[in-house]
Amino acid sequence: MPPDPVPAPLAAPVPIAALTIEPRAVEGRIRIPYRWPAGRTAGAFLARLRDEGRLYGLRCPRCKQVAVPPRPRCLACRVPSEDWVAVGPEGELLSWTTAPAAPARPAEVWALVRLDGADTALFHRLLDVPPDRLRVGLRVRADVASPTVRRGAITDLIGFCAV
Amino acid sequence: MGERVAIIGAGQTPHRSRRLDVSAPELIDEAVQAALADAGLEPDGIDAIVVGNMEHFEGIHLSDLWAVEGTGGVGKPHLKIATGGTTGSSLAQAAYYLVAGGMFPTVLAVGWERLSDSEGETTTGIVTAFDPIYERPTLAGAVSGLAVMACQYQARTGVRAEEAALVVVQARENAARNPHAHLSKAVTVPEVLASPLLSSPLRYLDMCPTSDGACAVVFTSRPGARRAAWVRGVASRHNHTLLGDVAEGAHDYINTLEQAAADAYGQAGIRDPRREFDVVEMYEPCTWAALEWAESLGLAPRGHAAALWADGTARRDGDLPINPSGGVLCANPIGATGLVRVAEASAQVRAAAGPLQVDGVRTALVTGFGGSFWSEVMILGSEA
Amino acid sequence: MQPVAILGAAQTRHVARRDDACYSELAFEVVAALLAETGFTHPRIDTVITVSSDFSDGRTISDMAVQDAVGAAGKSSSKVSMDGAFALAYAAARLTCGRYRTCLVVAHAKASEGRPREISRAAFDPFFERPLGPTDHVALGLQARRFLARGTVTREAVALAAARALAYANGNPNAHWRGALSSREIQLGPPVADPLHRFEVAPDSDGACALLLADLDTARAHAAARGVPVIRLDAVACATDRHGLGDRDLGLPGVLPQVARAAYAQAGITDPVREIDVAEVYDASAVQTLLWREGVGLPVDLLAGPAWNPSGGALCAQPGFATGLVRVAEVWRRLAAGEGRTGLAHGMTGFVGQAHCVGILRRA
Repeated sequence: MPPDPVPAPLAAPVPIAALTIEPRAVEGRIRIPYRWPAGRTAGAFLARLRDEGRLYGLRCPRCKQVAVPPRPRCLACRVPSEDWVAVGPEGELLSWTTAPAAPARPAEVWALVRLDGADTALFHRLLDVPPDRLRVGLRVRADVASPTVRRGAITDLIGFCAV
Repeated sequence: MGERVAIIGAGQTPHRSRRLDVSAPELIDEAVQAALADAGLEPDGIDAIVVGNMEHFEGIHLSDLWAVEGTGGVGKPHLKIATGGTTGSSLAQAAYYLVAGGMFPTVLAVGWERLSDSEGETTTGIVTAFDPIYERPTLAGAVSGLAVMACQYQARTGVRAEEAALVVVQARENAARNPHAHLSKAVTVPEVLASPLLSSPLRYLDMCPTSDGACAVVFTSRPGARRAAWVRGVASRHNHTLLGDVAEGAHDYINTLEQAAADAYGQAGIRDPRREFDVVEMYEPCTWAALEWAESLGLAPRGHAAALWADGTARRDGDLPINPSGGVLCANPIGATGLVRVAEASAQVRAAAGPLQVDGVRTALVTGFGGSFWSEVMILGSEA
Repeated sequence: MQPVAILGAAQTRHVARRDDACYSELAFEVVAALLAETGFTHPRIDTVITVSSDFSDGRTISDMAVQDAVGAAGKSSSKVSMDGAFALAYAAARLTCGRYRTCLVVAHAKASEGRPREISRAAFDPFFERPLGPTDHVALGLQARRFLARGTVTREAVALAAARALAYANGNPNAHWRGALSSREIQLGPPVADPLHRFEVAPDSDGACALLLADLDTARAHAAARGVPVIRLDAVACATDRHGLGDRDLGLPGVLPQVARAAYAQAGITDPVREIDVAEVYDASAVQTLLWREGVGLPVDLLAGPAWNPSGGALCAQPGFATGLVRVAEVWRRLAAGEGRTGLAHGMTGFVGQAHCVGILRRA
């Protein structure tokens, strides 16, 4: 067996403060694909949007409020909601905003729209509304993609246009 | 001093490889409704909610805010606890402390995970737990750390793979009676030994699965006349950041569980755990871990835990049933897994475990495991 | 709740980038400062609650990364994955149950290590909102428009709140943004999310904050030995609101009034305008500076009632989940310095107030 290596004499310790610290970073990226089953409630909403091109809400059996987007239970009363009601396609603009576009994304005008027959608001985008017409309370109408391209996603609704 | 804390109800979803029929909030709702029904409570009877999952497995940030659709937590205090594998046991401990500290009379703990949402990339998420400079480039996720532990255990004790395999053989037998279990098909020792090698000495059938599921447990200081499992001991021990530091010191095993157990046993007045516990629900992510941890818990002398499974002691009809539910080896929805142990043990103490019921359970031991070999222990009893 | 005490509070400076430190080093730095300030050592800290976001840290089980930095090895520790103010409820419970005498609470965030806008996208409802690509700033813009549409506050008042925050921050050595801008200059600045402009939306900061909590007996002994006042935590209340952007009117304070009432009831406060001397709220936008004020039951006029975000608030430093804990630290610092007797600290999880937490601190 070869002899154990003789350890090198220890260098005198250098205080950390005396070292020049080179800024150094390790880079990483987390790449995980995700797939979220939409379940009974969102799944039904999206399937009807795809198949019928229409928007639906769920009515709470207790407080009678119609939630769009639908929630499996009324968020206030905590009872199951199973009473689907058609809403829209017209509604009222409650809010909008523009934010500088992220790289590779077109500039958007995001909006909250309370559809006729609904008590809560749907988040989506506005399409071609001239800036001088934008106001809270503006009447808008859902623009749904043609049946051939709908795939059961919220983007089957292209957005809202001014009526 | 603090309030006495009781568990008065628990609910679980079936744990499955994928639950494509429900959204995450709907999955959570299943467990919450089952727990409320078991406790005989309306939603208004819950004063606060602690909820947890691990964000990288579903890719949902601020997941507690979305989970409110399923927990029924709108308008209520809602705390998110997320500590890796210990998430479920940390939720139970948080609920315990919030009730014991007098903050809220009744707290609902909700753990959930949908590992199928990350499409087979669960390990990609787990790897991010490790230090990006020193560890992440070379580590392979949860399996590698456990394999190192199993290697050490094997080298120290001489226990053979066929002895460790008995843990999963028994777990599957037990799971066959458990409607919530994810894996309940019987396996044999030769099948375990012939299953693919993951990281020596761990084989595929030595390891827990990845599951979709949720669990909810009701903790209260006001059980009234309800059947209660009283919390008699709560302890946890944490550890260093880097895995190389975790095993430092004189021990050739990682002693956080031994320390946490000693703390909890002191609180509950347990002197002879092997005799005094009527059932154990242990967080065993792999067969070998069950052996090492049975020893850390004082259920067998060091190096001799395999005998508990070999001689039938750990069977559901044995002298000290370990994981009559089938344990983590048969269902592992990570954020819920530790809470499932609490749910199962509380059901045993409350004589509400149905087909899994072990006769005459008065005292139960529960463990949780996660992070860098963190250990959490809870002791439940039929008397306060 | 039974009162507990806050023995000390420490912060790092909050800046755009701390390339000299990883986030466990930020946590270490702030814990070391807290120990130096209080004269405590790790063996005298019984239990630890850390606060962090796995997504923002780019690390699952992000609390594992700071275990050594906060001295948690061999102790019982846990993590609250919400804004740091919410961790007060858990820390206080660990003390009031009688198990522990001292509890360290540590929150950290390094916005510069990730892309905050991209990370924020992952917090939106995956079926109805996320496919459209909103960010936290989009949510703030929608909220601002709803708030202004109520007509109770002018556009000018919002810009003035931002200008005032920058001016206050000039006196805060830890602030990320400081400055002397008029409300007019702010309204002419670059838009962030219409109608909000730069300085009306909180920055993305690197920073950490730590508090040491203790039971009252330990606090009294500590105060007597060091000749410092006892600062009690008399109340912590929190609640979660609806999640979706359209599930409630974003221009209203939501569950915050209910949370504030619960905190006032716990602390025996009947007239917050007169009784509270200083308040620090988590304002991710200048609209929230005003909206949360309404939410805790104070008049909209910023010059009436308690000192309101005298640090500059989150508008001048927003280190992720540490932001709410910084509010508590700022209130603690002012009460300890004798600038009042009763303080309110507010934290928030969710960009537009999906969950609120209110703590009441009192100088004994």
